[in-house]
Amino acid sequence: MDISRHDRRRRLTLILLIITSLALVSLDERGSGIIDSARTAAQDVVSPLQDAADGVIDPVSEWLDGLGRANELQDQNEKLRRELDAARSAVAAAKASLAELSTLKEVLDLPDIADGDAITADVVDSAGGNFSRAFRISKGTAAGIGLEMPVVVGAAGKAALVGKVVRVSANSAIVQRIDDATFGVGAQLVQADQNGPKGLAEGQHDSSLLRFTVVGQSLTSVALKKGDVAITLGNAIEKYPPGLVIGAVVQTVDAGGAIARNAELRPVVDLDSLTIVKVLRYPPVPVP
Amino acid sequence: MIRRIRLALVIVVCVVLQTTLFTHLQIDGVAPDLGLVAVLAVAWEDGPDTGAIYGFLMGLAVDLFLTTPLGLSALSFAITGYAVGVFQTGVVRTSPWLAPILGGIGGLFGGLVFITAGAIVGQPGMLSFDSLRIVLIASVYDAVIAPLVFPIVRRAARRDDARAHWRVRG
Repeated sequence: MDISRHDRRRRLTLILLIITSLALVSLDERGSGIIDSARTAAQDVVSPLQDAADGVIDPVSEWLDGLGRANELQDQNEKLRRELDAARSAVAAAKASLAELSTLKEVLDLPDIADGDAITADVVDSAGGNFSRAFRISKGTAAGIGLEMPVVVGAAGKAALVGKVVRVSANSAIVQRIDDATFGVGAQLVQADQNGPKGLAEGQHDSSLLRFTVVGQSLTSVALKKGDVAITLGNAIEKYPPGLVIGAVVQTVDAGGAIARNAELRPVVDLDSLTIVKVLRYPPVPVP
Repeated sequence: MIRRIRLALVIVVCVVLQTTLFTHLQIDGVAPDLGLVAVLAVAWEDGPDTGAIYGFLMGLAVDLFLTTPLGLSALSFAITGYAVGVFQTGVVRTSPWLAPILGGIGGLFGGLVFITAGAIVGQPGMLSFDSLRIVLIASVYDAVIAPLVFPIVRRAARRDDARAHWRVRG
Protein backbone atom coordinates (compact mmCIF):
# COMPACT_ATOMS: atom_id res chain seq x y z
CA MET A 1 0.00 0.00 0.00
CA ASP A 2 2.82 2.35 1.01
CA ILE A 3 4.78 1.40 -2.09
CA SER A 4 1.79 2.15 -4.28
CA ARG A 5 1.32 5.57 -2.63
CA HIS A 6 5.02 6.28 -3.03
CA ASP A 7 4.85 5.37 -6.73
CA ARG A 8 1.82 7.64 -7.20
CA ARG A 9 3.70 10.52 -5.56
CA ARG A 10 6.67 9.94 -7.85
CA ARG A 11 4.47 9.96 -10.93
CA LEU A 12 2.70 13.09 -9.72
CA THR A 13 6.09 14.82 -9.32
CA LEU A 14 7.05 13.87 -12.87
CA ILE A 15 3.69 14.98 -14.28
CA LEU A 16 4.01 18.35 -12.51
CA LEU A 17 7.52 18.81 -13.92
CA ILE A 18 6.30 17.95 -17.43
CA ILE A 19 3.39 20.41 -17.16
CA THR A 20 5.74 23.13 -15.84
CA SER A 21 8.18 22.50 -18.70
CA LEU A 22 5.46 22.70 -21.33
CA ALA A 23 4.08 25.87 -19.75
CA LEU A 24 7.57 27.42 -19.93
CA VAL A 25 7.96 26.37 -23.58
CA SER A 26 4.59 27.94 -24.36
CA LEU A 27 5.48 31.16 -22.53
CA ASP A 28 8.83 31.42 -24.29
CA GLU A 29 7.31 30.77 -27.71
CA ARG A 30 4.89 33.65 -27.16
CA GLY A 31 7.76 35.94 -26.07
CA SER A 32 7.85 36.46 -22.35
CA GLY A 33 9.65 39.41 -20.80
CA ILE A 34 10.24 37.44 -17.60
CA ILE A 35 12.01 34.65 -19.46
CA ASP A 36 14.10 37.15 -21.44
CA SER A 37 15.11 38.83 -18.18
CA ALA A 38 15.98 35.46 -16.64
CA ARG A 39 18.15 34.62 -19.65
CA THR A 40 19.92 37.99 -19.48
CA ALA A 41 20.51 37.65 -15.73
CA ALA A 42 21.83 34.09 -16.13
CA GLN A 43 24.15 35.19 -18.93
CA ASP A 44 25.39 38.13 -16.83
CA VAL A 45 26.16 35.81 -13.90
CA VAL A 46 27.85 33.08 -15.93
CA SER A 47 29.62 35.38 -18.39
CA PRO A 48 32.68 36.06 -16.16
CA LEU A 49 33.06 32.31 -15.62
CA GLN A 50 32.77 31.71 -19.36
CA ASP A 51 35.38 34.38 -20.03
CA ALA A 52 37.71 32.82 -17.46
CA ALA A 53 37.18 29.36 -18.93
CA ASP A 54 37.69 30.68 -22.45
CA GLY A 55 40.90 32.34 -21.27
CA VAL A 56 42.25 28.90 -20.37
CA ILE A 57 40.62 26.84 -23.12
CA ASP A 58 41.16 29.09 -26.14
CA PRO A 59 44.98 29.07 -26.06
CA VAL A 60 45.00 25.28 -25.60
CA SER A 61 42.45 24.89 -28.39
CA GLU A 62 44.49 27.11 -30.69
CA TRP A 63 47.63 25.20 -29.79
CA LEU A 64 45.95 21.92 -30.62
CA ASP A 65 44.61 23.42 -33.84
CA GLY A 66 48.11 24.51 -34.72
CA LEU A 67 49.69 21.09 -34.12
CA GLY A 68 51.37 19.85 -37.24
CA ARG A 69 51.39 23.17 -39.01
CA ALA A 70 53.31 26.37 -38.57
CA ASN A 71 51.69 29.26 -36.73
CA GLU A 72 52.59 31.53 -39.58
CA LEU A 73 50.59 29.38 -41.95
CA GLN A 74 47.58 29.54 -39.66
CA ASP A 75 47.78 33.33 -39.39
CA GLN A 76 48.08 33.61 -43.13
CA ASN A 77 45.15 31.26 -43.56
CA GLU A 78 42.93 33.35 -41.29
CA LYS A 79 43.97 36.54 -43.04
CA LEU A 80 43.24 35.06 -46.45
CA ARG A 81 39.89 33.74 -45.25
CA ARG A 82 38.89 37.19 -44.05
CA GLU A 83 39.99 38.72 -47.33
CA LEU A 84 38.11 36.07 -49.28
CA ASP A 85 34.93 36.70 -47.28
CA ALA A 86 35.24 40.42 -47.88
CA ALA A 87 35.92 39.88 -51.60
CA ARG A 88 32.96 37.52 -52.01
CA SER A 89 30.78 39.96 -50.19
CA ALA A 90 32.01 42.86 -52.32
CA VAL A 91 31.48 41.01 -55.61
CA ALA A 92 27.99 39.94 -54.64
CA ALA A 93 27.13 43.35 -53.28
CA ALA A 94 28.38 45.07 -56.42
CA LYS A 95 25.95 43.04 -58.45
CA ALA A 96 23.20 43.86 -56.01
CA SER A 97 24.06 47.55 -56.07
CA LEU A 98 23.24 47.89 -59.79
CA ALA A 99 19.65 46.95 -59.20
CA GLU A 100 19.49 48.71 -55.87
CA LEU A 101 20.45 51.98 -57.53
CA SER A 102 17.18 52.23 -59.40
CA THR A 103 15.22 51.64 -56.22
CA LEU A 104 17.28 54.17 -54.30
CA LYS A 105 16.47 56.85 -56.83
CA GLU A 106 12.80 56.30 -56.18
CA VAL A 107 13.11 56.25 -52.40
CA LEU A 108 14.97 59.42 -51.56
CA ASP A 109 14.75 59.13 -47.79
CA LEU A 110 16.14 55.60 -47.61
CA PRO A 111 18.32 55.30 -44.49
CA ASP A 112 21.97 54.45 -45.08
CA ILE A 113 24.18 52.20 -42.98
CA ALA A 114 27.40 53.93 -42.13
CA ASP A 115 30.34 52.61 -40.13
CA GLY A 116 29.27 54.83 -37.26
CA ASP A 117 26.13 52.75 -36.86
CA ALA A 118 27.97 49.44 -36.62
CA ILE A 119 29.45 47.83 -33.53
CA THR A 120 32.41 45.57 -34.24
CA ALA A 121 32.63 42.42 -32.12
CA ASP A 122 34.73 39.26 -31.99
CA VAL A 123 33.14 35.88 -32.52
CA VAL A 124 33.96 33.99 -29.30
CA ASP A 125 32.61 30.51 -30.03
CA SER A 126 29.62 28.63 -31.31
CA ALA A 127 26.50 28.65 -29.14
CA GLY A 128 22.91 27.59 -28.99
CA GLY A 129 23.28 23.81 -28.69
CA ASN A 130 23.25 20.93 -31.13
CA PHE A 131 19.91 21.78 -32.70
CA SER A 132 20.51 25.37 -33.71
CA ARG A 133 23.18 27.38 -35.50
CA ALA A 134 24.39 30.35 -33.50
CA PHE A 135 27.54 31.95 -32.16
CA ARG A 136 28.50 34.08 -29.19
CA ILE A 137 30.06 37.52 -29.68
CA SER A 138 32.22 39.51 -27.32
CA LYS A 139 29.95 42.55 -26.83
CA GLY A 140 26.48 43.15 -25.41
CA THR A 141 24.16 45.86 -24.14
CA ALA A 142 27.09 47.77 -22.63
CA ALA A 143 28.32 48.41 -26.19
CA GLY A 144 24.85 49.31 -27.45
CA ILE A 145 23.83 45.93 -28.84
CA GLY A 146 20.14 45.05 -28.63
CA LEU A 147 17.82 42.21 -29.54
CA GLU A 148 16.96 41.60 -33.20
CA MET A 149 19.82 43.74 -34.51
CA PRO A 150 21.22 42.48 -37.84
CA VAL A 151 24.77 41.13 -37.84
CA VAL A 152 26.94 41.50 -40.95
CA VAL A 153 30.45 41.11 -42.31
CA GLY A 154 32.15 43.25 -44.92
CA ALA A 155 32.33 46.97 -45.47
CA ALA A 156 29.36 49.17 -44.65
CA GLY A 157 27.05 49.52 -47.59
CA LYS A 158 28.49 46.32 -49.13
CA ALA A 159 27.75 44.07 -46.24
CA ALA A 160 26.62 40.46 -46.18
CA LEU A 161 24.03 39.41 -43.60
CA VAL A 162 25.23 36.60 -41.31
CA GLY A 163 22.55 36.63 -38.60
CA LYS A 164 20.63 38.53 -35.97
CA VAL A 165 20.99 39.04 -32.22
CA VAL A 166 18.65 36.71 -30.32
CA ARG A 167 20.05 36.90 -26.77
CA VAL A 168 21.93 39.75 -25.21
CA SER A 169 23.52 40.41 -21.84
CA ALA A 170 25.79 43.18 -20.63
CA ASN A 171 29.01 41.90 -22.19
CA SER A 172 28.04 39.22 -24.67
CA ALA A 173 25.33 38.30 -27.12
CA ILE A 174 24.13 35.24 -29.01
CA VAL A 175 23.72 35.64 -32.76
CA GLN A 176 21.39 33.31 -34.65
CA ARG A 177 22.96 32.45 -38.01
CA ILE A 178 21.03 32.95 -41.24
CA ASP A 179 21.23 29.20 -41.92
CA ASP A 180 19.45 28.33 -38.65
CA ALA A 181 16.18 26.48 -39.28
CA THR A 182 14.13 29.13 -37.45
CA PHE A 183 15.66 32.11 -39.27
CA GLY A 184 13.71 33.89 -41.97
CA VAL A 185 14.03 37.22 -43.74
CA GLY A 186 12.21 39.02 -46.54
CA ALA A 187 14.41 38.89 -49.63
CA GLN A 188 14.58 39.91 -53.25
CA LEU A 189 16.62 38.37 -56.03
CA VAL A 190 18.83 40.59 -58.12
CA GLN A 191 19.01 39.37 -61.69
CA ALA A 192 21.63 40.73 -64.09
CA ASP A 193 20.73 44.43 -63.96
CA GLN A 194 17.16 44.26 -62.75
CA ASN A 195 15.21 43.43 -59.62
CA GLY A 196 13.98 39.85 -59.55
CA PRO A 197 11.19 38.16 -57.63
CA LYS A 198 10.51 38.93 -53.98
CA GLY A 199 10.20 36.18 -51.42
CA LEU A 200 11.37 34.71 -48.17
CA ALA A 201 14.86 33.36 -47.40
CA GLU A 202 14.85 30.77 -44.61
CA GLY A 203 17.38 28.49 -42.95
CA GLN A 204 17.00 24.74 -43.24
CA HIS A 205 17.54 22.14 -40.55
CA ASP A 206 19.31 19.54 -42.66
CA SER A 207 21.32 21.82 -44.94
CA SER A 208 23.66 24.76 -44.68
CA LEU A 209 21.92 26.29 -47.71
CA LEU A 210 18.98 28.69 -47.34
CA ARG A 211 15.65 28.13 -49.04
CA PHE A 212 14.31 31.02 -51.11
CA THR A 213 10.55 30.87 -51.61
CA VAL A 214 8.87 33.23 -54.05
CA VAL A 215 5.98 34.83 -52.23
CA GLY A 216 2.55 35.33 -53.78
CA GLN A 217 2.33 36.17 -57.47
CA SER A 218 5.67 37.98 -57.43
CA LEU A 219 7.05 37.57 -60.97
CA THR A 220 6.40 33.83 -61.07
CA SER A 221 7.06 33.77 -64.80
CA VAL A 222 10.72 34.69 -64.21
CA ALA A 223 13.31 31.93 -63.88
CA LEU A 224 15.51 31.91 -60.77
CA LYS A 225 18.98 31.65 -62.30
CA LYS A 226 22.10 30.15 -60.80
CA GLY A 227 24.24 32.99 -59.45
CA ASP A 228 21.34 35.38 -58.84
CA VAL A 229 22.00 37.23 -55.61
CA ALA A 230 19.40 37.54 -52.85
CA ILE A 231 19.39 40.76 -50.85
CA THR A 232 17.30 41.86 -47.88
CA LEU A 233 14.07 43.62 -48.73
CA GLY A 234 14.05 45.86 -45.68
CA ASN A 235 10.36 45.49 -44.83
CA ALA A 236 8.86 47.88 -42.34
CA ILE A 237 8.13 44.95 -40.00
CA GLU A 238 11.72 43.66 -40.09
CA LYS A 239 14.73 45.29 -38.52
CA TYR A 240 16.97 44.78 -41.54
CA PRO A 241 18.17 47.52 -43.84
CA PRO A 242 17.51 46.86 -47.51
CA GLY A 243 20.34 45.63 -49.72
CA LEU A 244 22.27 43.34 -47.38
CA VAL A 245 23.53 40.36 -49.34
CA ILE A 246 22.10 37.04 -48.12
CA GLY A 247 23.37 34.49 -50.64
CA ALA A 248 23.49 33.36 -54.24
CA VAL A 249 21.18 30.91 -56.01
CA VAL A 250 22.92 27.52 -56.27
CA GLN A 251 20.86 25.94 -59.05
CA THR A 252 18.59 27.38 -61.73
CA VAL A 253 14.82 27.00 -61.21
CA ASP A 254 12.90 27.29 -64.47
CA ALA A 255 10.07 29.76 -64.92
CA GLY A 256 6.58 28.42 -64.38
CA GLY A 257 3.06 29.35 -63.45
CA ALA A 258 3.15 27.85 -59.98
CA ILE A 259 2.89 30.30 -57.11
CA ALA A 260 5.27 28.48 -54.77
CA ARG A 261 8.75 28.05 -56.22
CA ASN A 262 11.86 27.36 -54.20
CA ALA A 263 15.53 27.96 -54.90
CA GLU A 264 18.48 27.26 -52.65
CA LEU A 265 20.87 30.02 -51.63
CA ARG A 266 24.48 29.57 -50.57
CA PRO A 267 25.62 32.24 -48.08
CA VAL A 268 28.34 34.41 -49.58
CA VAL A 269 30.55 34.02 -46.51
CA ASP A 270 31.71 30.89 -44.70
CA LEU A 271 29.54 31.04 -41.57
CA ASP A 272 31.70 28.44 -39.79
CA SER A 273 34.83 30.58 -40.03
CA LEU A 274 33.65 33.97 -38.83
CA THR A 275 36.10 35.79 -36.58
CA ILE A 276 34.91 39.41 -36.58
CA VAL A 277 31.39 40.71 -37.26
CA LYS A 278 29.53 44.00 -37.20
CA VAL A 279 26.24 44.50 -35.39
CA LEU A 280 24.13 47.15 -37.11
CA ARG A 281 22.08 49.62 -35.14
CA TYR A 282 19.17 49.92 -37.50
CA PRO A 283 17.45 52.26 -38.05
CA PRO A 284 20.58 54.38 -37.38
CA VAL A 285 20.58 56.46 -34.23
CA PRO A 286 20.44 60.13 -35.32
CA VAL A 287 23.47 62.24 -34.40
CA PRO A 288 22.40 65.06 -32.02
CA MET B 1 22.39 21.31 2.72
CA ILE B 2 26.01 20.86 1.69
CA ARG B 3 24.89 18.17 -0.76
CA ARG B 4 22.50 20.63 -2.39
CA ILE B 5 25.28 23.18 -2.73
CA ARG B 6 27.49 20.53 -4.31
CA LEU B 7 24.74 19.60 -6.77
CA ALA B 8 24.12 23.28 -7.58
CA LEU B 9 27.84 23.69 -8.27
CA VAL B 10 27.69 20.72 -10.62
CA ILE B 11 24.96 22.55 -12.59
CA VAL B 12 27.08 25.71 -12.86
CA VAL B 13 30.19 23.78 -13.89
CA CYS B 14 28.23 21.80 -16.49
CA VAL B 15 26.75 25.00 -18.01
CA VAL B 16 30.15 26.71 -18.15
CA LEU B 17 31.92 23.70 -19.69
CA GLN B 18 29.08 23.07 -22.14
CA THR B 19 29.20 26.67 -23.38
CA THR B 20 32.99 26.95 -23.51
CA LEU B 21 35.07 23.75 -23.61
CA PHE B 22 32.64 21.62 -25.59
CA THR B 23 32.12 24.26 -28.28
CA HIS B 24 35.75 23.47 -29.18
CA LEU B 25 35.41 19.70 -28.81
CA GLN B 26 32.59 19.01 -31.24
CA ILE B 27 32.47 15.91 -33.42
CA ASP B 28 30.94 16.65 -36.82
CA GLY B 29 29.43 19.81 -35.31
CA VAL B 30 27.88 17.94 -32.37
CA ALA B 31 28.73 18.39 -28.68
CA PRO B 32 27.88 15.95 -25.88
CA ASP B 33 25.11 16.72 -23.37
CA LEU B 34 27.30 17.13 -20.30
CA GLY B 35 24.32 18.22 -18.18
CA LEU B 36 22.31 15.17 -19.19
CA VAL B 37 25.17 12.83 -18.29
CA ALA B 38 25.36 14.49 -14.85
CA VAL B 39 21.59 13.97 -14.44
CA LEU B 40 21.99 10.28 -15.30
CA ALA B 41 24.63 9.94 -12.58
CA VAL B 42 22.42 11.68 -9.99
CA ALA B 43 19.38 9.60 -10.95
CA TRP B 44 21.43 6.42 -10.68
CA GLU B 45 22.70 7.46 -7.27
CA ASP B 46 19.44 8.71 -5.80
CA GLY B 47 16.46 7.29 -7.69
CA PRO B 48 13.59 8.61 -9.81
CA ASP B 49 12.37 11.50 -7.61
CA THR B 50 15.73 13.21 -7.38
CA GLY B 51 16.52 12.22 -10.96
CA ALA B 52 13.41 13.97 -12.27
CA ILE B 53 13.76 17.10 -10.14
CA TYR B 54 17.50 17.44 -10.73
CA GLY B 55 16.95 16.77 -14.43
CA PHE B 56 14.38 19.55 -14.56
CA LEU B 57 16.69 22.04 -12.81
CA MET B 58 19.73 21.09 -14.89
CA GLY B 59 17.68 21.28 -18.10
CA LEU B 60 16.30 24.66 -17.13
CA ALA B 61 19.83 25.98 -16.50
CA VAL B 62 21.02 24.62 -19.85
CA ASP B 63 17.94 26.04 -21.62
CA LEU B 64 18.87 29.55 -20.48
CA PHE B 65 21.87 29.36 -22.82
CA LEU B 66 20.22 27.72 -25.80
CA THR B 67 18.27 29.31 -28.62
CA THR B 68 15.60 26.59 -28.48
CA PRO B 69 12.55 27.36 -26.27
CA LEU B 70 13.07 27.41 -22.50
CA GLY B 71 11.71 24.19 -21.01
CA LEU B 72 12.59 21.73 -23.79
CA SER B 73 15.80 20.47 -22.16
CA ALA B 74 14.11 20.65 -18.74
CA LEU B 75 11.38 18.35 -20.06
CA SER B 76 13.72 15.83 -21.68
CA PHE B 77 16.22 15.80 -18.79
CA ALA B 78 13.42 15.34 -16.20
CA ILE B 79 11.86 12.41 -18.06
CA THR B 80 15.27 10.81 -18.65
CA GLY B 81 16.30 11.29 -15.01
CA TYR B 82 13.04 9.70 -13.88
CA ALA B 83 13.41 6.76 -16.26
CA VAL B 84 17.00 6.06 -15.18
CA GLY B 85 15.96 6.33 -11.52
CA VAL B 86 13.17 3.78 -12.05
CA PHE B 87 15.55 1.50 -13.93
CA GLN B 88 18.10 1.78 -11.13
CA THR B 89 15.65 0.56 -8.47
CA GLY B 90 15.26 -2.71 -10.37
CA VAL B 91 18.97 -3.37 -10.84
CA VAL B 92 20.70 -5.57 -8.27
CA ARG B 93 24.21 -5.75 -9.74
CA THR B 94 26.22 -3.14 -11.53
CA SER B 95 29.04 -3.47 -14.04
CA PRO B 96 32.23 -1.55 -14.74
CA TRP B 97 30.58 -0.66 -18.02
CA LEU B 98 27.68 1.00 -16.21
CA ALA B 99 28.75 4.59 -16.91
CA PRO B 100 29.30 4.31 -20.69
CA ILE B 101 26.22 2.12 -21.19
CA LEU B 102 24.02 4.43 -19.17
CA GLY B 103 25.59 7.48 -20.83
CA GLY B 104 24.93 6.09 -24.30
CA ILE B 105 21.41 4.81 -23.72
CA GLY B 106 20.41 7.76 -21.53
CA GLY B 107 21.85 10.19 -24.07
CA LEU B 108 19.94 8.51 -26.88
CA PHE B 109 16.69 8.43 -24.88
CA GLY B 110 17.07 12.06 -23.76
CA GLY B 111 17.89 13.20 -27.29
CA LEU B 112 14.87 11.41 -28.73
CA VAL B 113 12.61 12.96 -26.08
CA PHE B 114 14.09 16.39 -26.90
CA ILE B 115 13.46 16.20 -30.65
CA THR B 116 10.02 14.65 -30.21
CA ALA B 117 8.97 17.32 -27.73
CA GLY B 118 10.54 19.97 -29.99
CA ALA B 119 8.52 18.73 -32.95
CA ILE B 120 5.32 18.66 -30.88
CA VAL B 121 5.77 22.29 -29.80
CA GLY B 122 6.43 23.33 -33.39
CA GLN B 123 10.20 23.64 -33.70
CA PRO B 124 10.96 23.26 -37.43
CA GLY B 125 12.96 20.28 -38.70
CA MET B 126 13.18 18.46 -35.36
CA LEU B 127 11.89 15.15 -36.71
CA SER B 128 14.43 14.71 -39.48
CA PHE B 129 17.33 12.42 -40.37
CA ASP B 130 19.71 15.23 -39.47
CA SER B 131 18.25 15.41 -35.96
CA LEU B 132 18.63 11.64 -35.60
CA ARG B 133 22.23 11.92 -36.76
CA ILE B 134 22.85 14.61 -34.12
CA VAL B 135 21.20 12.52 -31.39
CA LEU B 136 23.20 9.42 -32.33
CA ILE B 137 26.55 11.25 -32.37
CA ALA B 138 25.73 13.03 -29.11
CA SER B 139 24.76 9.76 -27.40
CA VAL B 140 28.03 8.08 -28.44
CA TYR B 141 29.87 11.15 -27.16
CA ASP B 142 27.87 10.97 -23.90
CA ALA B 143 28.97 7.35 -23.52
CA VAL B 144 32.60 8.41 -23.95
CA ILE B 145 32.51 11.20 -21.35
CA ALA B 146 30.29 9.31 -18.86
CA PRO B 147 33.18 7.38 -17.19
CA LEU B 148 34.82 10.75 -16.42
CA VAL B 149 31.62 12.47 -15.25
CA PHE B 150 29.94 9.70 -13.24
CA PRO B 151 32.45 9.32 -10.37
CA ILE B 152 32.59 13.08 -9.77
CA VAL B 153 28.84 13.68 -9.91
CA ARG B 154 27.92 10.55 -7.94
CA ARG B 155 30.29 11.71 -5.23
CA ALA B 156 28.63 15.14 -5.23
CA ALA B 157 25.19 13.49 -5.08
CA ARG B 158 26.05 11.18 -2.24
CA ARG B 159 24.07 11.93 0.91
CA ASP B 160 26.09 13.35 3.79
CA ASP B 161 25.05 10.45 6.02
CA ALA B 162 26.06 7.93 3.39
CA ARG B 163 29.03 6.71 5.40
CA ALA B 164 26.71 5.54 8.14
CA HIS B 165 24.38 3.82 5.70
CA TRP B 166 26.84 2.75 3.02
CA ARG B 167 25.09 0.99 0.18
CA VAL B 168 27.12 -1.74 -1.43
CA ARG B 169 26.60 -2.15 -5.15
CA GLY B 170 27.78 -4.89 -7.47
